[in-house]
Amino acid sequence: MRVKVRHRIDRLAAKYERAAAEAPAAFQRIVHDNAKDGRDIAKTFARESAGDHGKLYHRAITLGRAETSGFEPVFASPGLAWEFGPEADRPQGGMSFEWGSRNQKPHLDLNRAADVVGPEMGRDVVRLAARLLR
Amino acid sequence: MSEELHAAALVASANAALAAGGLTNPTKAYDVDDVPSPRPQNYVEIFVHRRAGGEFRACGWIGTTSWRVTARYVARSVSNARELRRRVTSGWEDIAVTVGGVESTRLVFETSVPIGEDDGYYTGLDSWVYSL
Repeated sequence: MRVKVRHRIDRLAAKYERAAAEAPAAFQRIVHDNAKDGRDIAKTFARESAGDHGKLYHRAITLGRAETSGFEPVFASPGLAWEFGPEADRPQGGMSFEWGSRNQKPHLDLNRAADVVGPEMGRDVVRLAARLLR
Repeated sequence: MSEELHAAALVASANAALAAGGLTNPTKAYDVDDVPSPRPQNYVEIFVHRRAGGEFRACGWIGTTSWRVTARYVARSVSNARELRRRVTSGWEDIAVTVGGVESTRLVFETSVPIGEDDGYYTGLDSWVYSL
């Protein structure tokens, strides 16, 4: 009797090559989409918490690519670092709503938005990794 | 566990930390609406709120609640504000708080706002997160 054994390591290798090719764009999309959600949630919180005193503040909250210089190499890949928050040069963008002051309690609009999108982004990453390596 | 219980426990533990070692001028921590008028020369203002979601695990969420607490150090000098920060931090950081007889996770440092001039005073702020 003869037993013929054939390995399928080539299929595994092909799967990993495909995953490596797809991963950068897919992870960039996750980072961008969650940062965008964070911006939108923060704007909603800010519109409510700033009240009449800061009725323009929520419009100052924007989304942009984060500076990558100084980040760890893993974040230096294009599109893997986004940030949202108020721009100081926009109307009311420099007001101290986020952390408050001696005369104002902290509003924590950005923190509360990050509380929502942070775990969601973690789940997106887990789901994507599972899909790429399926 | 109500937010009021969390606030009361955190204010009490901050006051214990402030009292440790003794200050020449008694300095206290207050909930946001309890700061006396006229305001003291030095004080700490505590703000606590529940965070979105619970604890995230690979299998989903578990039923604990997550909380964020901030402490604003208000003083007439930078040195005094720093001393308030040092005392509260030493009493809170990496230490559990007991709320309504139940012990929380340790308070984990989240972020910090540097001490700066603030309407005639010097103030700074730290925030921590924990679960219960």
